[in-house]
Amino acid sequence: MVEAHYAERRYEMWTLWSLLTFHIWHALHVSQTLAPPERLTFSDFAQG
Amino acid sequence: MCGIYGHFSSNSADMDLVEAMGLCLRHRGPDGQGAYRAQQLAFGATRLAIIDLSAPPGVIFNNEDRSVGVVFNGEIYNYRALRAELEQRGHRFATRTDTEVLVHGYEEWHMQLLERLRGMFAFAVWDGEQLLLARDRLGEKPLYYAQWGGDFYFASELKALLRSPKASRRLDQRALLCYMTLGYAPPPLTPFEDICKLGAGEYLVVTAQGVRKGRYWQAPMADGRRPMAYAEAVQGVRRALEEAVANCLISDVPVGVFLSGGLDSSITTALAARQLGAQLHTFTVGYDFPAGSKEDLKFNVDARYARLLAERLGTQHHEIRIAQGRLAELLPSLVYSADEPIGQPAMIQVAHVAALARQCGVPVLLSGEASDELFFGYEYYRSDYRLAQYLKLPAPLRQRALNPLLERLPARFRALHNLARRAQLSAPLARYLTWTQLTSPERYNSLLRNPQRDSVLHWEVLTASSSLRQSEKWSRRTTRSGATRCGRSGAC
Repeated sequence: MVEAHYAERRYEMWTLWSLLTFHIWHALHVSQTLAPPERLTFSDFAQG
Repeated sequence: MCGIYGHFSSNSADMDLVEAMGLCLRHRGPDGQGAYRAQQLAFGATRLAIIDLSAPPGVIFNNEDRSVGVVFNGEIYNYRALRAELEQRGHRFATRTDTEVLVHGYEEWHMQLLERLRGMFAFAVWDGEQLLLARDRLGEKPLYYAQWGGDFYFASELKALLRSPKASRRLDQRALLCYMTLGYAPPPLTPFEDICKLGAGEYLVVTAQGVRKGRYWQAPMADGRRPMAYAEAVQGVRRALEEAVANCLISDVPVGVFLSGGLDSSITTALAARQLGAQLHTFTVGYDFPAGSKEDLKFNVDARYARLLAERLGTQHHEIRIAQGRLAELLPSLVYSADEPIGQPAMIQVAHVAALARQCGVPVLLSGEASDELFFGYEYYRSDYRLAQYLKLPAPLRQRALNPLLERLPARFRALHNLARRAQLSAPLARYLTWTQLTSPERYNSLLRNPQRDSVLHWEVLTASSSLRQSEKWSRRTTRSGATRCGRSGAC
């Protein structure tokens, strides 16, 4: 799916985003392999 | 936003758990926190102060004999009118908050209070015997609940309910299928099989005898009403928008607008600027590309429109740029903040703008969200109108002649292929889903334990969702009426 999207054979943004988000959510709340992150501050966003 | 949470027990409420839930929701209410415990109930709230900054946070018990307590998240836009009516009936208010209207209003009108409220809210009212929980008409403010054993728990976020050791964290297959199709799980589903969310316009009554769910409002449909003249419709929409924006500007703290540069947020900004003028803050997000580069010209076009409009209206304009190299680092925090998985990457822009607004001392933002649903901003409304016209042709003509013909056309006529394919779906909801689904369920078969069984389950879940049926009806009736032909520019 990723390869097809990068090669512009298919537009997979929505599907890839859904799967990526679910994967992270699962790691945070179900498998708990990802620790709850620290609360974001403005500097986290503004570093760009 | 504020956060509310609580535990109702048939025996004794667990205050330690409720305090842990409150800590989990502290980010929703930086201006204070408080909890209260009776024998059967412990509940609390974290407060983001918007109206009457001096009012105490937590559970509000301000009726005359302090017998009714409330925890509240949101805003009641018509609280001044309700307050005046309640004062005429002899109620005495201790604060200027909209929250206090709920206390006296419940005392005066009991369940009928719900029908009188205009606003965005989730709240819980306790009168010593029963706990009433309600969510606003369109489901703007979240409310989750769970029943484990003889106990009932509620909170503004899933995360708070997961503090209970009774939470199983087992995935709900039905919610997962909905998420993969729609990008979200419609109520009452949540990703967890033992946690529900209250739907828009719904309420719960919790007593020692059990839990009862009801509905106090359903979106009215236009069927049967006389067609409105175009000029009358334009005036009506204008009045409604002016009133809605004026209501949202009632605040004792600075208010801003998330100005994306598109039509909807520009209208909101223009209406807000009429009242606030140079006091109004506007916030825009762009992308961190070198000025004048091909990417800058392509992806920052909305930000340029936003800047132009802000200059024209004289607002205090602020802009933040998304650094793409940082997104992977930010993503776990954004997903954690979103609470449920959401198949919509706009959370990135929203989080950047919210952080900027907070930094500028503006805790309240208006936006143009949901306008696409109201003003037919999505292309599929137009396509659905064409499909509705096509379906008016006699079925034998379509099925025996036109559909096979359209399907044989060369690949470049993809829109006509899709028209023929959708016309063969008999259920209106099935047709609606072909427009709105992120990905068809067939593509996820490799992820399902039992694809055949779960595909049936998937359809049953979707057809059972009252919010989805409502959305489909809205889409079908408006496109049938030809409303999409007006287009968005004509609607305002």
